[in-house]
Amino acid sequence: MTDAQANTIDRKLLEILVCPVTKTTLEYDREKQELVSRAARLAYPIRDGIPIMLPDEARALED
Amino acid sequence: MDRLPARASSTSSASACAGLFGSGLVCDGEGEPLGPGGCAVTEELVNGAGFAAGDRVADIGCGQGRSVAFMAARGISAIGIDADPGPLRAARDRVPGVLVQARGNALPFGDGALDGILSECVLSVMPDQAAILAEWARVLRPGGRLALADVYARSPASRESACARAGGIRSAVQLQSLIAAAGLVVTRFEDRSEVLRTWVGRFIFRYGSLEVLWGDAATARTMRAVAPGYCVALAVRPARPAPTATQAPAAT
Repeated sequence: MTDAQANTIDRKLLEILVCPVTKTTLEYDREKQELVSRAARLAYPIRDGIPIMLPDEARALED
Repeated sequence: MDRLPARASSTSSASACAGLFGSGLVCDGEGEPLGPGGCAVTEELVNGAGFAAGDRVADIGCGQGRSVAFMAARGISAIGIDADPGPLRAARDRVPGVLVQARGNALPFGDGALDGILSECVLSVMPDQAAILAEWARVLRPGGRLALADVYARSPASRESACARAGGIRSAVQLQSLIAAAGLVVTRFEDRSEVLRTWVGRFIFRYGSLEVLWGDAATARTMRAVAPGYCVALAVRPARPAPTATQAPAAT
């Protein structure tokens, strides 16, 4: 698997994924490879193209 | 005998069983994922549920992705879901399908987002099965289908307490009641215990004994007492909530 492939996330998947906590929509941060839930104030990481939709693996948003 | 695959140490492990059962890491000698019934049961479930090309179907507890690959080959938009990173990483290298790490009781999908859910040998190893089935029912669209294969207690003497000791193994009646309680209508429930016989043989050949599967000798004894069998179940989310049995009959 190349880095380019590893960093590609399926577009159709992005359309249907929601935050597992609040069930609200997510923003895709391509640079950080994160799916951001504003409602839950969590950023879910994408590792090797696999979204990790677990609150305890997510980064808490500060701002 | 080969070394046992290490259980994922992550706290995200959803399995309530200490053994390899439910770990998603059971493989045969060639490293192919070893699941009861193999592709024959998967094919029966996919055909029975009528999952077709273009349908959005999540395989919950996808392990190493065998069934995700099977569905993707039929043009189904298959999404593999597993709480454990180990089997998912193996699936990443094995199948072209879409994979997501998530828990079965907190799915990252909106209400009615899926046409179907496939789940093989997963529910029986999860805690709080009622909450999990309710979550699955939530993400199914009206008319969406649940296709389930799992271990169940065949012994008619398996009372609630014995089943509780055997982890989440339920009798046929208990399992169907659980599915119905989640608001789904069971359309098929059939015994497929013959697949376990072949599978148990292959498992023992590979790992030396069944105790590795259950984790310890006491659990293995308990499991023998409930006479584990294997079943397939199909259920549909009705277009409207099913009327409850307690509803008063209309006045005449």
